[in-house]
Amino acid sequence: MRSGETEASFEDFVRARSDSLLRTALLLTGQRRAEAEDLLQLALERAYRHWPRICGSEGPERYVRRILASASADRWRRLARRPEQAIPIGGGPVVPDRTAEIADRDYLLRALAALPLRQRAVLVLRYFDDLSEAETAAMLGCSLGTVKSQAARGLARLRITADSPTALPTGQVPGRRNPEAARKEAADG
Amino acid sequence: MADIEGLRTAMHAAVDSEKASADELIGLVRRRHRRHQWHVALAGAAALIALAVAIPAGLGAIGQPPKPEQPPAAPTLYIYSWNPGGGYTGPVVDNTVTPINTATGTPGKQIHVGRGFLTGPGWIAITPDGKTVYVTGPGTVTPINTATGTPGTPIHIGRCSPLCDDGHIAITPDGKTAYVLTGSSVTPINTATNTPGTPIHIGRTLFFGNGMFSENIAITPDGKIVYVLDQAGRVTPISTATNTPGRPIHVGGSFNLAAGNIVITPDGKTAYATTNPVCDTASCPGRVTPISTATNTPGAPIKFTVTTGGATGSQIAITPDGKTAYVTTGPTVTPIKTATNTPGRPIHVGGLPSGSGQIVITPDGKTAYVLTGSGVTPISTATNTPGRPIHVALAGAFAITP
Repeated sequence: MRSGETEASFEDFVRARSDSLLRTALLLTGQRRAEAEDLLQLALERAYRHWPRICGSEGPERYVRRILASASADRWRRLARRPEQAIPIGGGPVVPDRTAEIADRDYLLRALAALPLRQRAVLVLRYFDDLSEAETAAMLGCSLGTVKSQAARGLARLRITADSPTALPTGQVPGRRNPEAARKEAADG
Repeated sequence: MADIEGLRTAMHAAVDSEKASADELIGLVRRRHRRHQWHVALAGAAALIALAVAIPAGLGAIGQPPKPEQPPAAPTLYIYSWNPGGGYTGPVVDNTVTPINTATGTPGKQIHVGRGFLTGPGWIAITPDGKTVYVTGPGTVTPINTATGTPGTPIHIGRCSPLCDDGHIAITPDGKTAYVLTGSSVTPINTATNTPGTPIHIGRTLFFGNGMFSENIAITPDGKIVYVLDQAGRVTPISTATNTPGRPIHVGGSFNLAAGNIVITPDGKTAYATTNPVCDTASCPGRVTPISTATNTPGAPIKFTVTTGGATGSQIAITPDGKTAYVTTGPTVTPIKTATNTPGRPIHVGGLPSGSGQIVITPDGKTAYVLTGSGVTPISTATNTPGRPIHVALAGAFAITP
């Protein structure tokens, strides 16, 4: 039986940190709001099961983020076996309708969403959540070397798509995964 | 641009304004947790019951594998194509029907349903018992036995004009009558005997006269009314009890309409008709009009913008739960919430429609299939995302088994 204090502690935590956790989930899922919310619910529900123990530890948020990252990792392992379906982000070519800066950001985010899930997760944890390489490796349950190589590959891909307008062609739906590539990504490490 | 700082800035700009609804989240997490606990308890109880049953049953029963539950058969798509595989090679077209198992995406044996001179396939419909497929060609309707994959003797019906060979067809929910469009008339066919009845004339229009082309046809779930959409943007109700047409309902926004379709919600209360104007720009207006079947009056048209890819013809299908209508125009599929009649974010399936851009939905409502230039593209109705297309050459129309 949960005590009222434990329940209140969980509620306080969700009220204080859910925005920040949702933002990470959004980036992990390529800004698909429904999937991000589902991922966050899953992570919080897992944390809730063990909350009396977690809330007594030093960093409950760190624990929840770890679950978020590992749930995201579970997702890409599952998708490597079962091809991911395409997502309709943007729905067409990006038009620099206000400023070139906004268009660049939009383009960069579309390119980020088009990255393989593992590379995307590494870049989000490293450069959005500002985790160290070692922390990212611990979150994703992979080696330090994998984090380094995936970060380098992810950034290289973003540079290619940013420098070459043809790298993310008009009409391509970011997130559309080649199942063979997904399997290879999963096998890589 | 894609330096680390740029990436960091872009990520923050994209999501920093996003907010979670904490109270809602807390409620959802608790509900999810209770469900989890319930599942754990249920699994424990099931294990105890299994143990209690297994022990008295004796050791003989232990070790025998449980009989697997027979899964329901995956529905079959029947694709009506012209001269598939060989491309268009001349004025004589070889029309075929190809069954495709939706579970595996693998095509079955092609069924040849006759050749026509410069005439591709018409339309296709399946009886509610799934035993017979009807395909229409110019002036004929051919039944196909789905068990054996063999075509029967063609049924000859009147032909309206060389230009209106589409012959859209629909079958009543009791499976007893097929209604086929033949220009400005509708011909009923008795499916027990495969004989045509007297054509029902649905009248002339000022603009099209006798040459008016009917666009499509739908039958209410109770089988009492047939609705016919024509090229002038009129919907004519026909009583199946008397085979007489009623007063037309005007839904067209213009007299220059692209091919449209009509569909009826599973509860039979609303018909939705698509009447896009002909438009030759990349981005065109889409238009769907709901019609109350109780009063035969049109509601406010649902208007949205579609990426046409040069094709403005529009098709429509409704999920079995009646909650969502999917409207295709060119490579765009627009979901519409029927509760509010509001269009959602368009789904891009890629490729141009070959002929119809027709859309059908599986009986379980989980998948919509759209006819595109490269074949048939599945869309998950849960996520509104397209999956991997099944390649079918030169498909003109298709239907799915119940």
